[in-house]
Amino acid sequence: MHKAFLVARHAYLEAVKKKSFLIATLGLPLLLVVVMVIAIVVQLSGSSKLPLGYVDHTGLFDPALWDRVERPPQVELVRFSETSEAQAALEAQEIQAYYVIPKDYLEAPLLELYYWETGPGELVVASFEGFMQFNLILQAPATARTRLLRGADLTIRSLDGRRQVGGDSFLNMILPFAAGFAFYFVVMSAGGYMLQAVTNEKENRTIEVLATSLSPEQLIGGKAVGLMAVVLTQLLLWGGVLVLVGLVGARYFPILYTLEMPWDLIGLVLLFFLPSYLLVASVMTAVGSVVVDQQQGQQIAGLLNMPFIFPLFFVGLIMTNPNSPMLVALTLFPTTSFITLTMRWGFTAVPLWQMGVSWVLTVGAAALSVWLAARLFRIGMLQYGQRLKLKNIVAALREGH
Amino acid sequence: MEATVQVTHLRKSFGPVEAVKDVSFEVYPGEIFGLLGPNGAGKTTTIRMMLDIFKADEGQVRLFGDGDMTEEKKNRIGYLPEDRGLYKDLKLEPTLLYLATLKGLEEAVARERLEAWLRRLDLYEHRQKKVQELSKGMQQKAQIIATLLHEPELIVVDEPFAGLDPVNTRLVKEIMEEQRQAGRAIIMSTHQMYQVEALCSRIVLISQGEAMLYGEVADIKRQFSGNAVTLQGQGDFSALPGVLEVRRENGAWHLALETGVAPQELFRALAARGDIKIERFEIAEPSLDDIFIAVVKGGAAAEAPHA
Repeated sequence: MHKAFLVARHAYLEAVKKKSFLIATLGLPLLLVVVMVIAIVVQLSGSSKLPLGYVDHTGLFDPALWDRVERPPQVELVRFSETSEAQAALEAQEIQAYYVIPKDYLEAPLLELYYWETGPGELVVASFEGFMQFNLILQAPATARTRLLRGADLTIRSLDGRRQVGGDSFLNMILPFAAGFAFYFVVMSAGGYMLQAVTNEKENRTIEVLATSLSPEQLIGGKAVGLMAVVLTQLLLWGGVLVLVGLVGARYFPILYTLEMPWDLIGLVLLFFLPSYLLVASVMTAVGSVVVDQQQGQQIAGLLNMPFIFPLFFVGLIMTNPNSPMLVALTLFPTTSFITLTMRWGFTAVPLWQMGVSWVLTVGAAALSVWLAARLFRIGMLQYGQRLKLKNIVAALREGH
Repeated sequence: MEATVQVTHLRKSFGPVEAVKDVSFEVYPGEIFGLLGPNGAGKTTTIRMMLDIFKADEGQVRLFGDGDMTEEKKNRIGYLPEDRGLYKDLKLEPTLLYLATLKGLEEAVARERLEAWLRRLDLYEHRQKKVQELSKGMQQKAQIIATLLHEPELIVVDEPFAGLDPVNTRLVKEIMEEQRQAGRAIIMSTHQMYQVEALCSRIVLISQGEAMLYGEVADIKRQFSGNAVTLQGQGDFSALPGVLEVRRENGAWHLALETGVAPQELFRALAARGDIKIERFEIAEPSLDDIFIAVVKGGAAAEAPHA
């Protein structure tokens, strides 16, 4: 056990110290921050910090109530009773622009906007529109008012009532999709590391010395754990940056406010992560054991990735018909279960039985492939510079060494 | 004294190929034991079975007494395999420390011992270099350190002198001799017969998967005396009947004879020929080389008394 830990630690430290890892790990968050900064700059540019004025000839639009509504910080509104006052304030540069709401606005909803060279930014306009809507809704009867203010709240429940999807936000639909993707590629990249580690061991001819130090299971297990830790480090870092960016971004992008923490999805990911990872890692170990060198390994691994990324071809179907038989099949199939489940998550309530059966099949397939990989590793590692022939593989699996 | 290694009637086949048919030997603490044989004779397979890398089809391996291979036993073995290597893109010192900790050595102890070894083998200045930046000889020396750093009781070295210049060959020989004096059991597999002659007290010779010779080097030589002659003279001695191999040594001809061919027969045959003139003819003490050739090419076998 101790030796497996040593192997894990060594694999972890060696991988983390590599330049390619640093670039990949730090590059993505950096990109995210840059994109965020650019988005904020675009959002803010052209938008003045000055208050926005309006002249209300209807007497319906009161800023007092609006100010009490909880919302992200937006532009300050100043009400003028006469157009001439607003014009004077604009000329004195006390306000950035002003709207004129005509007396017959309710019959003919048209606004006039006055400003100097540049008009108010998108955010300011949106904010004013929100203010208008809010006050207009206040005119409606009390029952309709709450309905209108909250908007439609569609909830889809599964027949057994245990699973439900709220239609509250587009982001809450897309997020599981994105998270699933991210986690999935993490699993695949860890698998890629695994292939590299095994072929590396073979190319460097270190295996015989290692075989007289520890068992193949300790070696492979240690490597798998170490490389998983590498990827989790990456993920933790990215997750941290994402949360940070989200917190900062929420000040500028109100839609981020509607995000909810998908705890049930996180639970699902935790359940599927380990077996899915073991499945990929052991397939890659088996490939690494059979091939001559890394290049050949990557060619074969490229092909073997197909059964894992297959669901990506059905993104459209997932969005339009997330319960189609094809997708149910992909949910149950071990290599595709993880990604299909997470992608369907935001668009439908996946029945509990599908998740259960899928998990059991994934765990079973993982156990089988780990066993297979350990056997192939034992016989393949000593075949320096030559590929294992299919005949030999079958024979070796039958009798074992 | 209890044997460190006891191998009895090992057999192993890979599909239809019988790599090892019947090999038995024992190795004791404080000796350098030669494991000899031509390419493909089954030496490496024998070693791998002995070290539990392969499972034997038949026969028995006992290391450090009874019982199966355990992690504790693995920590007492130092193995320098024929197909060997180190992690090429890693630095030398951390690589050797890592391998030592995998042998159960505390990192602090390993670090302390490593410095002395690196200095002795002229690698100290190169300890922070990547392995791929080292010469082949340096890599070989580094691997010898990896084999010995954890002070194993059983040392198995396959072609330990490969890639070494004469100075380093001498150094490694010295180290092997020291290890022997320290009471370690050493198994050395090599094709360099003069190294075997210089270092090994006992040998086993494997050919086509079978142990053909086994015992004390001196006993084996005694058995094979009369199987080689040294002669000087004029004429062509390269193609004579009953002779397995001919080589020139210090102006004389050294002839290894086929089994069953007596030196007198050869002498008579030479005397009868007009194109050859003999100035000196003597029965040579066979070198291990001669014996190796006689056994491997000529199929001769002798049962030397067991040690």
